[in-house]
Amino acid sequence: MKRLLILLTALLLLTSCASAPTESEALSLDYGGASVTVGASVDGLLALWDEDYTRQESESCAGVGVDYLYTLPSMRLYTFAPEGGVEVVTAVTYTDDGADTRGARIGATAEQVTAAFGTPDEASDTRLVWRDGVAVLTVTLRDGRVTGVTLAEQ
Amino acid sequence: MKKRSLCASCAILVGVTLCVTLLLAAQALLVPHGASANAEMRLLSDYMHAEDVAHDEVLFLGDCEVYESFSPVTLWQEQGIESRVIGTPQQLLWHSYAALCEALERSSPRLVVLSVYALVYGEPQSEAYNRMALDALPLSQTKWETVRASLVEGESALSYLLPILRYHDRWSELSWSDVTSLLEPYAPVSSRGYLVQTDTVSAASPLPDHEGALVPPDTAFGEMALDYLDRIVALCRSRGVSLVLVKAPTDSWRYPWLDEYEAQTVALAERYGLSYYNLLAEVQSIGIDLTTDSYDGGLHLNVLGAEKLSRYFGRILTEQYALTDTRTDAARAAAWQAEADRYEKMKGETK
Repeated sequence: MKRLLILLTALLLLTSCASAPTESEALSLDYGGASVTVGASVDGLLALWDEDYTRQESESCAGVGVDYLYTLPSMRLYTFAPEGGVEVVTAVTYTDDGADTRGARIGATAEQVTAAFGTPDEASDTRLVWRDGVAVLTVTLRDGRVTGVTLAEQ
Repeated sequence: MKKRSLCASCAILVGVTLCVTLLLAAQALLVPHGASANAEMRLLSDYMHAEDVAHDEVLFLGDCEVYESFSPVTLWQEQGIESRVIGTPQQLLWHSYAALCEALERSSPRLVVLSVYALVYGEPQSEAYNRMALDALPLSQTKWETVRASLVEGESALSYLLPILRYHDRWSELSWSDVTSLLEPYAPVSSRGYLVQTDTVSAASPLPDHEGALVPPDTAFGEMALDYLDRIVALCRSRGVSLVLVKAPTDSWRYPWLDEYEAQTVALAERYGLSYYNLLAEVQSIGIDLTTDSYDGGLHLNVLGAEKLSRYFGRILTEQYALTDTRTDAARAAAWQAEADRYEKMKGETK
């Protein structure tokens, strides 16, 4: 009985380790007062930001869905709406230093970025990468300064 | 006793045959076809139902960069080239390999033109596109291996051997047209694999560009894509078929052709000793203007753009490769005239 309980507990722990990141663990980028995660519904985000934006669309081959590109001040938002489904975020990238997540912005130092996001899963002179099982956050560097911040589907 | 045993065996055989027949009939009904499948879903079926494939000298392989860019009718009318497009939505290189294996069983082309955009995808992407690239292929070792290589999460390889396992829940969507379309002669949706698009939706500018594209952190072509390119090269060499790489003259934020991709493709072409035509760099020579030559705001060419491109590329193929001009062959001319008539009708009818 004791062994069975230990086994069940171990199985439960393993299952929880393999599950999707919780809201607090999920990688995100901040913009206009919102925390944007991959897979999040677009509903509400644009209304919350209340900024001018342009939208381009690209229908997937064979009508499986539509990709959208929203260009806002300091950020581009990429989304996908499967046919008959909900439009969700697939990627977000900062385009200038007008947006930041806890100090991590274009032009920031590698140290500032690490302070914002924690120890990266991969690190080199040109790139820092974090993964949460669903999304990948990539910060590109040149001469120790951030040149790009992108959160995208894994 | 012997007689009873024989009767029992016969009864079992009849029963099994009946069950298999019913299963296959149900499967044919449930797998999307006819009006229940959109045109792009039926492109590979068009090829599998084509009857005069033995005359194909040039085969185009790839995704919408081929099936919405190259018009075989135009290639024949302008240069007498007998060609066919074997394209499917988001056809990846392992799909192209399987399609090529099948095509080489049915025909002996002199030249294969392979769209390079699929090099960007280093791993399987989507069940929907897998189905469009593989369901219509007959069962074979190559198909089975390609299915196994293509699977995405949640897919079952067995459902490609027995598609009824995947489509069984379509019972509720069936209509009378699903039944009648099985009994009618096959009606191709394309013109020898070219999907005619007649709409014009202007792009913001006449020239293609990928402003706004999301640049992936790693732009290196994936190993799986490179492995299948290698297999395609080897297969063509083993059959004495020339292989040419081509980048269609399309570029967009959603399907960008980055400088990094171009550099790798040039290197690959050099490594394999292949000719590579980046038609994106020749947009102005071709005469493409995306304010008039696109049906979706610059992402793909409409028939005007495809015909311009086909005229341009057809001249290159004629100059570089010993292709047969069959315009003076009465039988071929008659067959192509029938195809051209159908093509003109499509241009008039397609939305």
